[in-house]
Amino acid sequence: MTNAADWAPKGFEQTLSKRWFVSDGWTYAGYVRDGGYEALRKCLGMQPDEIIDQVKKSNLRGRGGAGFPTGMKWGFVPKESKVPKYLVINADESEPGTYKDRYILSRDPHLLLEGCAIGAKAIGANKIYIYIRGEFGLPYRRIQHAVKEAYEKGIFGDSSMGSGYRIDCVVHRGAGAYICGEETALLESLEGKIGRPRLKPPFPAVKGAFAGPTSVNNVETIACVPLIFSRGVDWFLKQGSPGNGGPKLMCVSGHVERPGIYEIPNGYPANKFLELCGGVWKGRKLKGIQPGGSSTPVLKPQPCKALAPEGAPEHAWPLETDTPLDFDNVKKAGSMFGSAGMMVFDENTCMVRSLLTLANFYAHESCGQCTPCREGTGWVAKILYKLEHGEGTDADIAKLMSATDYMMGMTICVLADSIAMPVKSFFDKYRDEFMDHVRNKKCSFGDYAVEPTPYNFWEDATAERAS
Amino acid sequence: MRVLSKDTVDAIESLKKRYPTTLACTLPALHLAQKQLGFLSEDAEHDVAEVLDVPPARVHEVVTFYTMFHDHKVGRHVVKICRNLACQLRGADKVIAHAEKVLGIKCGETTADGRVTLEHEECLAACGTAPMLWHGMPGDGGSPGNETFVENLTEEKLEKFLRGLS
Repeated sequence: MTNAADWAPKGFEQTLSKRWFVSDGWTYAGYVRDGGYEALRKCLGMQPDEIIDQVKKSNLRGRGGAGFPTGMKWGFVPKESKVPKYLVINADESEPGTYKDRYILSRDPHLLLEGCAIGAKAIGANKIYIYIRGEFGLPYRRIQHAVKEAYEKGIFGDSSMGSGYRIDCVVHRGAGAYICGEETALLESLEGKIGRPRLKPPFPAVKGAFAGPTSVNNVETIACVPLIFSRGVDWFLKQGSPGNGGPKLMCVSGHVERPGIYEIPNGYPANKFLELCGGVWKGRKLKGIQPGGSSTPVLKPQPCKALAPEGAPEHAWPLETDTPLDFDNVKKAGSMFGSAGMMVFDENTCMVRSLLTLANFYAHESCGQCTPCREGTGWVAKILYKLEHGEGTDADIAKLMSATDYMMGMTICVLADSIAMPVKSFFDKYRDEFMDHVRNKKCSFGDYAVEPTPYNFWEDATAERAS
Repeated sequence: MRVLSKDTVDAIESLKKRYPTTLACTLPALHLAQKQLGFLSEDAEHDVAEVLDVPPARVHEVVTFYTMFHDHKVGRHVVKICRNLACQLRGADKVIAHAEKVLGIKCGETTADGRVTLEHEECLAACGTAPMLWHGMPGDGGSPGNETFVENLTEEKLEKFLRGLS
């Protein structure tokens, strides 16, 4: 067993992750004992407009990657509709580096369900679909169990908590496709088709699932919603930074001493966060981080003017890797906060190899609908393979750059951008390493040893044994 | 029905009330069919299409698009090892090589006795407990969702797990 306090800054009260450390935290009884479903009871007595207004005031922003204000998204769903409206939960967590939703689903599923019910009431939907990643075993079993309990206890059904408001909830399993994490591809997949993103407009708020007005929200976003109503908007705002309300789950992986999920206030500085994770492992130096998942540009420990106060002298500039962790500041530092899947690279990491691994992934996952993505991701992967294996030339590097130019902003969804941006940033910031691969006709970095973490608390097998 | 059992057909029928269209039952129906059959043959696709009253081509494109659906016979156990970046940084390349050595096959192949199919997998959202693998038994007849993760792999832990699969 591990100590809950080890996974948050000193003195910061965990709210999203606190029940993960309680053995029956995932059950209805455990949830209600901790005051669960009281926020829903409150919301069922409120007007939908009031609920949306509170969420707007809380500055809750979507945790799936885009950081779009949740209250505004709900506000786009028309009040009157001749066809049924839907709330769809995106639990298709698959951005490399990101693994927070898996723990909400498996260790505190009722927090998600309470948020779902509040969201359904807010947008006037009677039906919730939770689209969960097909490969998930334990999270699927736990959320299924929680939905069954919620029906038995009258949270879902004809009259949610006796309010007269009907809420139905269906858990829908995907079948293995990264692209289905894109909201319109997810809707296509929910409708039983192959996961190809739709052209927008119409946006899902107007025409989403089964052509009805739909809000698609990330698991963590929805899990934040009950907190806004149980603790209050002011409390929620205080847990974050200006424009970025609430606590944040950070997923950290790669070369830190203590990988795992940490709960931090939005706006917590990345350098202090790395200290919290025990620092770069084995006393090695930091080479870079991808702050928000595999598709976010890499940050290097180099001075960053955009993060410095106006007029500060160059020697006083903070480093890119000191950025406060919220949507606005990480953007200023030149990257994106995305889904908060931070991958940390030590000084012995080969950046060409890392980028090749990512490129192979995007080439594998391109749905094939748009030519710049289908062809571009393949070419990027082929060129990087040549570079990493000592067969690359200067002309290949020029080709790599021009390929990314033809990919960015040219496609229906952002999958092509999601590899083009890392390619540009890896090359800009670690140009010497790329050139060394060309000049030496080989990769000078060694193989990586097999080094798992000692923290079996985070394993599904541990959670399942404890129940 | 060419290959689907009555139980599977009944289970698929009971999905219909959850969705406004029968087409939307395609993914869950295929999961159920694969649990019965182990993989999705053209006959299985035909049966699912018939129960859902949708064109077989609709079902076929779904089977070929999603990586969890197998359109040919696979081993009793399917083991997928993550090769994405977070796992690679913690030694996934060596883990995969070791699995290939222990089983005597390459990724994408099945052992001669039909026991294990080994595959690469892309990120499975267990980056903090890397390296990791996914284990499923497509044709075990059980309910979909019996899959498990084995995390924080070492070469020894991997070998013990693979040898323990019957």
